[in-house]
Amino acid sequence: MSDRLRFLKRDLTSASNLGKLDADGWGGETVALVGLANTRWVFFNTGRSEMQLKKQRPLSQKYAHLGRVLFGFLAISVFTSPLVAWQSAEVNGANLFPKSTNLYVEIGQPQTVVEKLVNHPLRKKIAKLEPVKQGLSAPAMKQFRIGLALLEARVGEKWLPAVKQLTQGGLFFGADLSTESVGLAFYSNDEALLKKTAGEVLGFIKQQGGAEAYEIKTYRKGKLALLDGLVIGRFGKWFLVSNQERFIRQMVDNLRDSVERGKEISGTLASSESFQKAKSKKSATGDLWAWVDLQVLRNAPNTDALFAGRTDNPAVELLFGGILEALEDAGFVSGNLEFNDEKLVIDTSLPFDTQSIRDAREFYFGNKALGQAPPFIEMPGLLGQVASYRDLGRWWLAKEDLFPEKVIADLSLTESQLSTFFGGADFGEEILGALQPGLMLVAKKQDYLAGVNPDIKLPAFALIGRLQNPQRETRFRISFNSFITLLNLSENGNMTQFDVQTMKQKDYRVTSATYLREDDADEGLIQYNFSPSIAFQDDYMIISSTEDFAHELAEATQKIESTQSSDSNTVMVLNSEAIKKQLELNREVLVAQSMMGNAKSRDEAEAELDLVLSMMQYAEQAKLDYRIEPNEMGITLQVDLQNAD
Amino acid sequence: MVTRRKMIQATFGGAALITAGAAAPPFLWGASRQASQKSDEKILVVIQLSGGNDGLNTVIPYANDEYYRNRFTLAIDKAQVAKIDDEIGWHPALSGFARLLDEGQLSVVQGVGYPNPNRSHFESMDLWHTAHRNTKEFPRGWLGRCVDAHLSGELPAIHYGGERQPLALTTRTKPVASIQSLDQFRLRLGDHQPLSQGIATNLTKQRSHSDDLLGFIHENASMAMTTSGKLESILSASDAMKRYPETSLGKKLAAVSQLIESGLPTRIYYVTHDGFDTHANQAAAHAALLQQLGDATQAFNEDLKNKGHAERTLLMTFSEFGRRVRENASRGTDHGTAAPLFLAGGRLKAGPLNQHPDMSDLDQGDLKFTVDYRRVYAAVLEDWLGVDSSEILGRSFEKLDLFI
Amino acid sequence: MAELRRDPKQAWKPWQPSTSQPWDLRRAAHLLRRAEFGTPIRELEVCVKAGYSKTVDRVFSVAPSVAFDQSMQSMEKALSSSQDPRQLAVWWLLRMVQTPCQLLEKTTLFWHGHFATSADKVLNSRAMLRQIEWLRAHALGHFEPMVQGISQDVAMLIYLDSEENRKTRPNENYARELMELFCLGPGNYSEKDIKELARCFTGWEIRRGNFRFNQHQHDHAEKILLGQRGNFTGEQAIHVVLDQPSTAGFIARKLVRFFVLDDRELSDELIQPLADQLRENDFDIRDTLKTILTSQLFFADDTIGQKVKSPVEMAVGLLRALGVQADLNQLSDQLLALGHLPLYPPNVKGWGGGREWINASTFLGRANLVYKIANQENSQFSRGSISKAVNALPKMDPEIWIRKLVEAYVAVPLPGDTMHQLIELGSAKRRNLNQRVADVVCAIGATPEYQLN
Repeated sequence: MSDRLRFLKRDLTSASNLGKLDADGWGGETVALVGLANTRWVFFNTGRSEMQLKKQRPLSQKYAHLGRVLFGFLAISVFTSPLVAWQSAEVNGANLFPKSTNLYVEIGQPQTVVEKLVNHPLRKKIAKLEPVKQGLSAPAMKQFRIGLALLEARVGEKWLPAVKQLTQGGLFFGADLSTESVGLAFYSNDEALLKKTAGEVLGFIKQQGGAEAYEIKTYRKGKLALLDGLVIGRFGKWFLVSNQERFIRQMVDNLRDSVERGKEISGTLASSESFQKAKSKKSATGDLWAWVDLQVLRNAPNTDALFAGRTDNPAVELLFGGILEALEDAGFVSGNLEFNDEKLVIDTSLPFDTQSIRDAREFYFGNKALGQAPPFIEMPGLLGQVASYRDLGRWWLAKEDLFPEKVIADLSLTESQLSTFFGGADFGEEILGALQPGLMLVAKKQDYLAGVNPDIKLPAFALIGRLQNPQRETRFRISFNSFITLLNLSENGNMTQFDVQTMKQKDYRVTSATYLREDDADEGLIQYNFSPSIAFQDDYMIISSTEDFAHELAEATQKIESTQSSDSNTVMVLNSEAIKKQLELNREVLVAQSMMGNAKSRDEAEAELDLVLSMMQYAEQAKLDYRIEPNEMGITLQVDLQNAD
Repeated sequence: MVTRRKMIQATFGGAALITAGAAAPPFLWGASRQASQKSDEKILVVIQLSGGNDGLNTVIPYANDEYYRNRFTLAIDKAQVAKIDDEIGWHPALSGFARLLDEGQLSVVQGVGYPNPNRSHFESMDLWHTAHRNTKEFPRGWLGRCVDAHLSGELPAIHYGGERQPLALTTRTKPVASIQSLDQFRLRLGDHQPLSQGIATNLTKQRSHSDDLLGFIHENASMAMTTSGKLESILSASDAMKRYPETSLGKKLAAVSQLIESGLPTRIYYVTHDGFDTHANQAAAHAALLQQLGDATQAFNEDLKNKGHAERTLLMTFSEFGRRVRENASRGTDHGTAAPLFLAGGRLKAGPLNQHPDMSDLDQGDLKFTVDYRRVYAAVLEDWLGVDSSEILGRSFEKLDLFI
Repeated sequence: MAELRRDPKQAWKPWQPSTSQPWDLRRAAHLLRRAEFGTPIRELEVCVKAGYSKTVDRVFSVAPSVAFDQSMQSMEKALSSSQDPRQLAVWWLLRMVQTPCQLLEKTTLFWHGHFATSADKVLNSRAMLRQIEWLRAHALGHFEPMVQGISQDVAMLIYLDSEENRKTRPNENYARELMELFCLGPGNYSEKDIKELARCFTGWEIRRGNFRFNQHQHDHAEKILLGQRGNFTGEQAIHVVLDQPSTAGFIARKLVRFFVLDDRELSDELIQPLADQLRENDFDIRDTLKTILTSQLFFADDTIGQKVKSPVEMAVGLLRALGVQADLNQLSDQLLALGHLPLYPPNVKGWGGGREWINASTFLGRANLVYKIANQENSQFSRGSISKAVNALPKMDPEIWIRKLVEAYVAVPLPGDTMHQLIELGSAKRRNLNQRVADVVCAIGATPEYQLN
């Protein structure tokens, strides 16, 4: 390979390494299995100390643990109830928790939620999945059902109607992360039922664990049962659970002093300013609302990177600089979750003062934080799109203010290497700066010519920007030609040639480099996915990985109304069906990777892939909306669910 | 001062081992005695500046108008040049080299190249790496030949870094290790103390083996533990990395210094510093690279001096070729010919050893070489590593007088 | 190196179990360790019960699995198009772990070391794949077709800078290596022979990724090669080389060094019977290998444990023995650091083996490797816990299962105090069974004895 090319390749790699983000994927556990697993846990493992959050575990595991606890309790309700008329109980759960609480979750109307989940069309579909069926028929599940049936017999009610009544008034969860304490409370309208159920549960535990299984203490005219790692208590219509005695006592105090008397007192979560501020913004509708105090996270070890307000990674800065800016000072983050048969919406927001944005971040927010993302391209069959307000020219120029010496030196090196293509033009001002702020990234499944059949099938993707000055077109076209020429001159034995042509259509021009295919022995090469192209339509510049896509986009941009724009800083849309098709095209490669990454057998790898693909069917589309408002920064995720059978 | 007690303590962290250590099994004595015997052997550290360093802007002939005439935008102001003598001076970013020179620890050989310069980038590289014209024989590097023919023992040469092993080190018979991190020399067994301690006890215990293969393995294992122990205590010293700049070259040289200190019998270390192929917009990039080079080298030398290895370690830089005298249209420079070569260490004749190539007598716009690079190799091979150079280089070259 | 003193007439006679040398776990483990990569304890016990000759059958006559082959084929197609030879190396590791035809795979690895070609220089993952497939197809077949094919193999010729060979300036590289490294060994030919052989290969070139014979560049005149006269073409010349008396001994010696012993000098007399067998059977590898692996020399007490495990043998062996699922991508990085990643031999001589595997930078790397395998977050032992993997063992008494592990996986007995340490680790309080087994495996992996094959 020629040295220039080798060095370029290395620079591009290191540039992309600069932008590599570590993403820990979330496992695809269905609500069902999680709920089941955790309910079993709760009922049968109360004797073990695993529930106790051990100090040795890393932070993330602890939080995952907390999450499990929450899911577990939620899931009990999930799988157990149809509806009964909701009786209004205007309880402010936040009054129960002490001020030191830094995570709070509220489900105001659990039975509505449960109703929606139980009757959700997807639930039946999920239940039909193989792994779920297997999980449901496992011996552990059978044990659970037997236990449940016994409990029903004792309480004298079927579990479904029982639990629905037990949580009518609301379900509230609070945690103090610095002391690792969690608390859960729910309010029932039927006190007698609650009393009986609690009694039976305790009896059950005694049976399993013997006389030593728990200890009863009296507190504030109520009883607390101290199990191993868990404390529970019923106080009137309230049922409280916690993992630490001290915490539950605080809850009981608040219950007696505040909630029951209908008074607001200081020392509860509800009295915290930060909390009130967040609550005031809570929307009226919504199934679940959560609040997290960021101050605690700020003080926790290993979170400096998140709250530093800056990053050493230029790509991270480009993508997330604004979020870092907000996190630096934000006191809390709150979120709202709402769903129905058609969609799931999660809204999160951070308080944010747009008046105090650093100058260097103008590339991200725009002038006075009013930067808007460009409008979407209308085109069927897209895998997804991202439209964002980013001013690349300003970003490059701001690097002196944003990054440490070392990074600036590295960027200068990269610039020096890339300058070769741009005829020595100043990279920041003349190249990146030639673009208007407002970029789009689009991807689409591509069709291959007859006889062209790469083994790995990549989608076509393109970057779309607008030139400040359409005259610049020529410079970019020349640079593109230089780049292709360099590829052609490379001495790597595998590189064959790209043929460059410019096509002039009525309103746009496309210059593309198509891969020369002379030999049948060239079967399946990955290069067949690419015919790099650059297209210009009006002031739009489209850099595409395939020629066809460049043409399609050039035509599509003609239809964009120049007055259109979005209210958001960044919008992203992903189309599940299209993505699923793209993955299916590459089935063999994915299976191979899974086998090598885990030395799995082929059957296991295929089953795993099939599961992921069938789960992708449940959503039609996911949309992420990122907005800046004068006092708030918000991210909304909306997932449109697949309804048709 | 790192005592044996501290080493054992550092590795195993257990009081139990201290008592075992106090009894110091003869095995361990033997191994460390061996190591200290070897500590007189000379070490060569090569820094390859990949891409072709612009010598004209590194050692600057600031008194010569030709320089300013040819480097319209890239020339360094007279006032900024760190003067070496009346005619040449350092690029301001090379403060590290300037310091080394002041301490008498740096030599500069100017105008290093070879006859009939081959402007093919590859041929030129191959020549510097193999010291042979392209004979189509399966290529072996000059250092590789040295290893094959003359250096015995394990790990005679180490390439430290993630890049492909450089051609200069390619051998025919003996393998050269390409190492990316010091982890290979350390026992990484997590936090479970009983496990680490158990293993350590087992390996350092003396045993007599009727079976000499097993004995060989055990001996090596012991030595590996010793090295590991030394490295752990070196690395746990609070200022282990502080003196070095946090650049990639800095980290590589820091690791090399730690390996030298740990007593490995390695004679040749090789690291690369990349990015010198500055065809466009050279100024900022070149300055950054030189800064990194100077700072890292200076820190390395300082570190070696403190640990008592400066007298036995020679550091040598080289680059595949220099760059053209005249600047090109993109505020950069293109591939050229002769360039300066730098040596650092405790036993050198410090300062510039010869004159800057004549800037008025150019060969098609390139500097003419005055010293054949193989003369430098010959001096390093014979006077430093103590091996015969004519076989390695193909014929006899008059060696330069580099050492005091 | 000391010379191995054995009676050539007796050494290669077939071994039979006897009271002084019974067919027990130790010998079964020895045979399977050398002929294959690694075996779970349960299987070892089955082999002991089944008897010696059944086990030999299992090793030499295992039927290939159609499903497995198909699976491997579709994988390799998907991978080679990514053109990353590192991925190919990882795929080969997966193959070694999962293939039912273990002896074939191990012998392929042997030939890969013999015909060393490094992807680092070749950079073409398809060419490397083709070479390995060729080697596998002939690994247990006949030597001559293997050599003929390798001599025209794209990856090999690229590696040896032999992409071109012109009549006017014959390229001697391949000729030299063919004689010195692949067929005859040093000292069995002259410089003149190299030149003449190079002339035979003129016109052999690589064009656009394929081998091609260029008539016009071939030197058709007469050559005098190794005492033979003739207008030899390249293929004929190879035949001449193979006909040399030293070839059979050279190959036989290499086989013995890889499969039996490499820490002792092997005299020509000792190798002679094998060389004769090879020559008589048209260089049938499987045949001679069977003789070697069922010989008295192979099962002698002072042969067991007289080799050093190569890093691949260690890693793949451990994965197979414990039934671990591990991240092979990471494993490939570790193997590269230890100097033994398939497809990346250090130089044209391949891997020297023997004592070369152990030095200050590799010994601890090996121990670290065992630790990573035993404790990796990714690795799931046999779809459950590691304790299930050592399932044949009663779970409760550490002493018993530790002794079993040692007997099955360590070639020579461990000294008493090492055993004590292991038992201590195995019965540590406050560590659950999984952790204890992992600790014991790790501690065994760091003993000098475990490094022996």
